[in-house]
Amino acid sequence: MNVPPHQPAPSLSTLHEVELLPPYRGIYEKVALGAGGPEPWRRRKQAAAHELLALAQLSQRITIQYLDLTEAIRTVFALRVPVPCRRGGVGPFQVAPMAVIGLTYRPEAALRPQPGFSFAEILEPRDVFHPNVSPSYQPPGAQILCLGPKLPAGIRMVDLVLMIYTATCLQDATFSFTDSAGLANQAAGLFLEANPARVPLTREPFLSSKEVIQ
Amino acid sequence: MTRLRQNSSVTKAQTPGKTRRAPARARRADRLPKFVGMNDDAEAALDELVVAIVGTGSVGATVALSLARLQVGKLILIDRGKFKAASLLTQPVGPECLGQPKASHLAERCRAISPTTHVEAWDAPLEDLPWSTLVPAGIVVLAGDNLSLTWETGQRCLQLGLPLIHAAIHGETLTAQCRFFAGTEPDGPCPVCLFGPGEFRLLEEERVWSCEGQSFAAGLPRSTSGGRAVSPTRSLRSACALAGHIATLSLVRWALGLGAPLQNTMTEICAYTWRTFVTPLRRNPACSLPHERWKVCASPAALRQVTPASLLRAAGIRAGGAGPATIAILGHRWVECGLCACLDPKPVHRFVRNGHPACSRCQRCRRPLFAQPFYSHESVPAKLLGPRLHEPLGRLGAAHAAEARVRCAHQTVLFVHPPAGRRRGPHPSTPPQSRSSP
Repeated sequence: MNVPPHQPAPSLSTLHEVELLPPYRGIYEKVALGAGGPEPWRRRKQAAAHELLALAQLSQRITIQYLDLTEAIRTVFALRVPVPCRRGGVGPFQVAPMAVIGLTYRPEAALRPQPGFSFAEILEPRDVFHPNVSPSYQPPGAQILCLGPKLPAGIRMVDLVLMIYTATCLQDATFSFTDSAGLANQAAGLFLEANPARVPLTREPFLSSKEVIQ
Repeated sequence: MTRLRQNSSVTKAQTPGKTRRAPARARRADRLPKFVGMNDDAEAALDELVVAIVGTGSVGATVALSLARLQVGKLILIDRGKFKAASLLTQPVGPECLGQPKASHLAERCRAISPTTHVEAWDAPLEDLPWSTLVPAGIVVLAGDNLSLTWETGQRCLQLGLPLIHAAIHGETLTAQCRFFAGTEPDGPCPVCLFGPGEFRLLEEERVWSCEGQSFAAGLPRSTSGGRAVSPTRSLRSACALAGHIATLSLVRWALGLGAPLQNTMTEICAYTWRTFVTPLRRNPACSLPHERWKVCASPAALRQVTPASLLRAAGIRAGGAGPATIAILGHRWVECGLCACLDPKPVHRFVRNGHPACSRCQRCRRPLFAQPFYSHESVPAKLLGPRLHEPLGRLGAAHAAEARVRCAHQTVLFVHPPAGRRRGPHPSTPPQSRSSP
């Protein structure tokens, strides 16, 4: 960890206190300049970007590939997480080692509760087979990851990243048809209910033991 | 689907052999008093008055029917709901209206009472209506029964600088409330300024969604108005009518400049004690709603003919130095990439109408190309348009666009085509300070 000794040890709730290293600070300064919208929303976006970059700096699990604050907060990041895959929904069940996630945080999400399907899309791999991800082999083909029936107003970006991790590797996913949240891919729900040994794909926490912050 | 019904010249068929006698046209002047302290022409002011009523249930219907009897210039009625059996208990309607959309039904009644009043009815959620729906209004009356509607109406009034009268009831204490928000300054109070933790908790509980059957095909994977669970209004008809009448009288005072200028206040009348309370309303500095004022302009030409660059220029933003400027076209989203059976995303780079999931067809597999949600923008950053900044919107897929919103760091400009009607303000005799915050 690259934390000055006089500062308190950061935790996921104090990511805003983490001093960004030069490569991350460079990204932050560039995107913060392009933040648009009313002043409170601009400040909120800049704070969220700082936290996201701090998380990427602390954890080896995510790599930020794209970040834009012009209107919504839009970011693309590679997430090292096991991803359940099955080509066309019928091929052999496979586990991909990484996902590329597109995350959008619209202005209204800061103010009002939003449906869990309005934030994240799995851009890669393209054959995700997951009960909470709409299948790529059926139109319209976008792999929307549903994080629950309703997410609270003002939820933090970092919390969304953690939810995406636990949902993708099936640590926290909905399989049951009786759940009020419903299923985005019923075939995947049936398959995983019939194969409970595959769930979850990993028991590792988001932060590895070396990264765990005291 | 948004449905707008305006005055129609269609008349009902007559019974053969019977001559239909035209209803006697009532003259407003026969009943309009000479208001104390008013020297100007009240009739002219009422003729020019345009009122939008959001929520036409037990309270809103009272306001609408009262204003129709005043033969005001124009009424814009907005309500997504339909009459059900329980409506007969609190609303001024009969059993013949069951199953009918509230706004349209009430509009018919208003037209019957006042054929000279132009009445528009929107049987849709306010969230789904064009931004400019309220632009022609001089004042808005909110008579909704849920906090989501209060939020949305408050936001639109703040953005457009419209005064707002919020009429409500507290059934358990037989209390009728009327809040007046002057709307002259963005720093003034709004309905959301008055929300406490309880209101925010209820607001969160009002909305529920399900992934079940969610196709993500009709646009961005989000829901603005669906899945709402609203508990019914519990009150007496008389209390609802009282709230409606207080709102109507406040509106008439505002429109004609009667009495002391209306300030940001809440008026409450409790039927348990018959005590009346008038409380000043103040801005909550921590209000969750952005207190942002939009500028409304007529588009330089039909929007299909103008380019995004010309809209930026008209909004006072230098081309090339657009920075964080964004452009949103009503009812459209900018799609960068689409998906088809080939799986790999294909470039699209055009506006696509909401509700039209397919952008075009894939050149390779010839199957429909669907907008990829992450690469679809309701509000597109100008820098993403690149050379398309200089192409007319019609060529970019927005041939039927009626409204465009340009936003930069310091201002938001709403371009409307055709130009929105002239706003009817309060009567000229109203002292200027009557529309300012205390």
